[in-house]
Amino acid sequence: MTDPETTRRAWPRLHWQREFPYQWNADEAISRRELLNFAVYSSGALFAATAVLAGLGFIPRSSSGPGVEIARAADVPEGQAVYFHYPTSTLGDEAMLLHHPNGQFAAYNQTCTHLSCGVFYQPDQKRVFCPCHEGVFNPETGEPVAGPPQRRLTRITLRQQDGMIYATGWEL
Amino acid sequence: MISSDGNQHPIPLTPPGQDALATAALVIGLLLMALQLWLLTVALELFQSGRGLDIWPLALISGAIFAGGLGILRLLRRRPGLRHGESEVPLRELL
Ligand code: FES
Repeated sequence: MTDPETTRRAWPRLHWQREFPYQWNADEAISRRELLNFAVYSSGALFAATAVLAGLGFIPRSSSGPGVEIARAADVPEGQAVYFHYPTSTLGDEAMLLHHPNGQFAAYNQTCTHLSCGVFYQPDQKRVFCPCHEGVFNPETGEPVAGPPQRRLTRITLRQQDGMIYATGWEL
Repeated sequence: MISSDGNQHPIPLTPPGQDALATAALVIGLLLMALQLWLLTVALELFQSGRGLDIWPLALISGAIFAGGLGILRLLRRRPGLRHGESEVPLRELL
């Protein structure tokens, strides 16, 4: 067996090895422990973020807005849509009121939940369509049924009074 | 390793089997953390799409992973150190 002193003379230490005289396995032990600590703290942060979202999820996310007149129910034929703005008349607040063939009304914000293009109603195909990437939504529920969108359209809550339809708020 | 008396003491080499075990445990932990990150993105997606009530199971899984990590840290702190002549290298020496 080679004498350690002989080995040391045969292989003189480099400058940095004299400056940082840690054995390679000691260096590895330190970094692995630190990595574990870091991983557990990061895991805690990820859990906290998920827990906050879970907490927020229990809070109902519908908002009541100003009551805005849309149209008289009798003026919107079945299977047709009326386009309006809600809650303000600014860009991004474009909305549509759909009169389904079964007599029910539904209203949605026209912003596509994929990349915010404008969607519109296609009564002949019984769908709400986004031309940008051919996203398709169910006109009765607002849920995405084809194409890239994954989230449903923002629904506008309605109230009918004396034959007039009012937008009263929205729910995500 | 340099001790307070200024002398250099060799660190006992970790037995190869246990070393691999500790590294494997760490890698599994990191994979679980990646899973937590994925759970967070799913939770965000559910929240954005108004299905916030479906998020709590994800938080539960994420919490269980975090609790497991804390348990491992606690275990490492509570294990006795390596004593002279002991054949087994305790976990805290490995990590
Ligand atoms: S923006 Fe509507 S499908 Fe992409």
